[in-house]
Amino acid sequence: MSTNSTAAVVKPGVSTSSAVVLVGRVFLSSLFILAGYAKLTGLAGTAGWFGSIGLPLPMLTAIVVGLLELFGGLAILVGFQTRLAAIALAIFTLAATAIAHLDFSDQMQVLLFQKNISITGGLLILAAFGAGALSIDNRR
Amino acid sequence: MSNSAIVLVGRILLSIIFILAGFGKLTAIAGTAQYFASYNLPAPTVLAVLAGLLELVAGLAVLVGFQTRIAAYALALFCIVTALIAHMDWADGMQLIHFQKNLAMAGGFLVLAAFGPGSLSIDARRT
Repeated sequence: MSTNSTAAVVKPGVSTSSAVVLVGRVFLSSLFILAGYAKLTGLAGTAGWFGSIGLPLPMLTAIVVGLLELFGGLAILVGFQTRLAAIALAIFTLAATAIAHLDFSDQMQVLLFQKNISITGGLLILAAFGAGALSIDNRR
Repeated sequence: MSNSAIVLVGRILLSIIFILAGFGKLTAIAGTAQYFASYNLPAPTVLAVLAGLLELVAGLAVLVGFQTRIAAYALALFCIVTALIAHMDWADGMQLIHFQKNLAMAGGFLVLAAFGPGSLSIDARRT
């Protein structure tokens, strides 16, 4: 475990790069916050959709997925338990991609697949470095 | 897995789409130019070459961790500009999803630009 090599790059205190990380967290999280909110405020529709693609317990899954997206996204936004939230959303994104975007005869699904993979990469990089100085994690 | 290894995996995942898209554009310039022209972009052939080169070269730079911050800022900007050009018709739900995904990808590049590529990178070997 060589965590020092990367941690040494991150200077403590508020700097331009902390602000860049904050903007990055806003961009990275908005997708999940909006999607989670939409799922939770449209549970019947979400459950119907999940049932149609063969997911088990569609209503329960809709609630769990909506909560994960909403609170995982909010955690990244404010920088609270950021590494945990980023890992959770990275795993979720890979799972959702494997379930919903594997019909590669559809060009649009290939593109959505590739974008989800890219977003997963961004979440992993955030998980590795943490939220930066402008976050709840680093006020405590 | 060490942090540096996680960052390397993240860089690979983050960059694949751009390497593939850049290669795809450069090996089909005529089709790409036609596609760009459908968005009323000026000088579509020149833009097709530039966009393809940017995606391919900056994607490879992020992958190997060479001039990572510059490449990451360039691709973050590219994600936002393409979202503003091609994914603004939000009455079409699919365009809204692409807009949001482009923004999320840009966010990943900004995090990378701020922290740098970690120790498993060309940038880290040169300093």
